[in-house]
Amino acid sequence: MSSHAHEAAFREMFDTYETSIRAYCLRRLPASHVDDAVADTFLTVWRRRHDAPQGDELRLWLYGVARNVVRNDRRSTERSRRLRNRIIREPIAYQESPEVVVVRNAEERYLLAAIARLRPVEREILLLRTWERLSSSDVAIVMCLTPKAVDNRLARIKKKLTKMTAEPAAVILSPDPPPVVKGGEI
Amino acid sequence: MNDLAPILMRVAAINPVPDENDLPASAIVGAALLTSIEERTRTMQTQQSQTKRPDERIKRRRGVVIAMATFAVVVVVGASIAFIGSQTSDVGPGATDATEVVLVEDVVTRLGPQSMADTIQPGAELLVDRSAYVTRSPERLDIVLYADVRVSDTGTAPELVTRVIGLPGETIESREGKVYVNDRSLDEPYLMNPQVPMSPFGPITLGVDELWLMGDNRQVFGDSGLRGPIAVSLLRAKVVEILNP
Repeated sequence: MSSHAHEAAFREMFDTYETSIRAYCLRRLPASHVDDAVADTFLTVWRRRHDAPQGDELRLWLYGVARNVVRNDRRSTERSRRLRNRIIREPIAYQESPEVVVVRNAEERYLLAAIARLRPVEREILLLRTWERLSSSDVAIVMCLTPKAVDNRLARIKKKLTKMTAEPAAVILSPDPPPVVKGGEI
Repeated sequence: MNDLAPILMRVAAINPVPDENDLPASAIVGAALLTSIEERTRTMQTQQSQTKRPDERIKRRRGVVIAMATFAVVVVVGASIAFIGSQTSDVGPGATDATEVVLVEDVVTRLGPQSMADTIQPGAELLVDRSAYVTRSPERLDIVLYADVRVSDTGTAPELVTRVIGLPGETIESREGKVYVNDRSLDEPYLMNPQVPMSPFGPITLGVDELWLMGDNRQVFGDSGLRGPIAVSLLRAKVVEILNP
């Protein structure tokens, strides 16, 4: 393919999928990071355009690239915050996963807390399934898992969420076992 | 979506971007973004085609970045070691690379430096960890900085230093000069000496995201004694070292 043809193909791909990728990033990052994350995703895609699959799998592959970009963003955010102590100006909200920020005080706070307590891979499976509305087999492609593994995990996630939202106090209150009074005789 | 289990339907219902066709300013930003990607990729291509040995240029640039990064790390680690090396009292575990020294006068001006007497003396320096509560929840008896948003809810709220007494969901009460947590008396060896019996209050049950904060000098009526329960989100730092003068 000539360089011109590559560019035309890239532009077409961008027009087709930019919205999905932007939405994916908006669901997971602070709004101020989204433009950069989308740009980084497509820049990576441009560099690796020879690896890009054709057809339906292209969108799933893009989600996979975006997932790595989002993870990198979180890591570097974490690093720069640690170094610069920026948390004083950008308090807790900055750290929380975006979904917690968006509906922080909504009625589903227990559900959000439960989602936040899932393991990262579980959370990604859950959100790809429910927010990106991918089928289990599509989630499997994005996450490089087998469809069976995704189904098993989803079953476990459902159980976890149901349990955690049934005892909301346990979710919010205790990162560890229920609070025990420390500091001497009680 | 109808094939989802009820709990998954609930997750789907809190999607922050439910409709991908309804993104904020997507068209304009998208076009600008595409241009910027095209520029970036074109620059990359130009560099590759014009430079005889592209590797060399990249290597040189990488060398500078690595040198700068190493310098930054050495400064940060060196500073942390210097602070930790000069510690005088141990308040809690977990001094990380996010520690910094602040003058106690800077943070307790509103209550006066006596609110944490005798634990923190006037003129003391505090080594604080601003990342402590990002990943962990506060624990009882942590000495913390919190933002006094009552004063100004915009910009920089003054930070006050105090101690965590009650955790979310607990019931706090003061009677007969002692503090009770969930009806059990709290042993407080750190209180200012001589002790002043504290005025009774409560019982108060804390919300799921609320703390009860009180200084070690109970003569000074501040923090939760003044404002009631304080939101966890107002915590700004954990004091990991106190360097009394």
